[in-house]
Amino acid sequence: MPCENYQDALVEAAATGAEPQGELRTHLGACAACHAAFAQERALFSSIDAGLRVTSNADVPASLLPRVRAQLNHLSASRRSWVPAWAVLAATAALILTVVVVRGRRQDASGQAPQSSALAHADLPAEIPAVATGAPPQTNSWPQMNKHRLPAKIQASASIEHLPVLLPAGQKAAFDVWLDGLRRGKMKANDLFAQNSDLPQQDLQISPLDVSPIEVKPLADVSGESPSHGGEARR
Amino acid sequence: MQELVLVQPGRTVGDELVHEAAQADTRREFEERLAECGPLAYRVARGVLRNTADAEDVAQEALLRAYRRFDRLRDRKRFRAWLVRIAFRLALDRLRSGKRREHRDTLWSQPEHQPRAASAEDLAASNEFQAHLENALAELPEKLRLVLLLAAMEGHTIDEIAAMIGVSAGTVKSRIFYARKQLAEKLRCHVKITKTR
Repeated sequence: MPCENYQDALVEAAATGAEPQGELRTHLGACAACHAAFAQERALFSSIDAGLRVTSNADVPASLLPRVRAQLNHLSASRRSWVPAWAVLAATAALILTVVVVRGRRQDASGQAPQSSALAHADLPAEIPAVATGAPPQTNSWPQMNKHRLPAKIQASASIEHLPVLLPAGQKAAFDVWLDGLRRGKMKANDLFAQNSDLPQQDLQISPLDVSPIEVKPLADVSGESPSHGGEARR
Repeated sequence: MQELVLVQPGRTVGDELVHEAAQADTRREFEERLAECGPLAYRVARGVLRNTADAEDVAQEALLRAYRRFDRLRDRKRFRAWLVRIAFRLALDRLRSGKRREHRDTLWSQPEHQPRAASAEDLAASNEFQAHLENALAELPEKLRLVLLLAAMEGHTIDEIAAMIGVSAGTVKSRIFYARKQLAEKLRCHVKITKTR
């Protein structure tokens, strides 16, 4: 058999590193050229294996593991430092929110202050001077002014209950009845205000103050008495 | 210096301590594997990149990536295989981006292609066959290359490689055989050239 027929078998035997068997072994024993080619192939694969070992088992730089450990430390530290940053952000946000809410409430309170300072409390006796008859327009306008800030239920219950109002003289009993109906839910404050807002505003009637004229009496003449007093003193 | 521990809102001190302890355990467990598997990551990267500095960078990146995802690895026995895959992937990415960069640099800096003149020192220091081998290795398909590199590394049996890359031992043997044969075909002419010199 010609040598070309053994070429593939020769290469495969060299690649596997196994000893040639059967016909190939016989041929290699008889053919010096093929024997030399087989030896060359084995040398080639040995060189490849040796080269691969060199490539695959390269010395590891001594700096690798320390570098990795340093990076791990840095990573752990940054993870730890992230927690305080997150907590600080959350605390800051909560603080800002609290300040905003408190300031908003204070502004609301200060907006009411001029009204409430000018008004008497609902529990006050009905004999309020007639100057205070501007109260009904105030009770109408306050909930409407704050309608956009507070829900209707809060306006109807909490604000009315604690809102000092001025009443025309003699209308306290009627106001008590209205307030009682409001508390029992028989009527809604907003409806009432809406109805009232359609009604024409009555002119305020302020009774004039009854001030009695002041009597001015002339002072007694005390100038004549003083010399006599002085004369007695001299005596 | 006293260490300050800030407790997160919504978490109790107990939870915080448990979390810290778990992190410390993870770190300790990873450190134990680091000394054993760090060189493996480097060698895989070195086999692909053929450059010490790049291989070190890639190995470091692979190890850090493995640490960050260490909690996700359910079977810790598969850490070596997992790390090998990470390092191999990263090295291939680096190789591709390096080739693109090299191509770009060549286009900008050398309008006319001129072969680099080798100095006398280069010629003396180079191992011609080794250079040809590494070039031939770089041209192998990825699957064959990884198996061949792992097989050439000290201490890896066929079964270990099979477990590492998740294929049968027969597949590993087959890949090694074809990989070596392809390398031989590429290098045969260089062996003759070397001999004739």
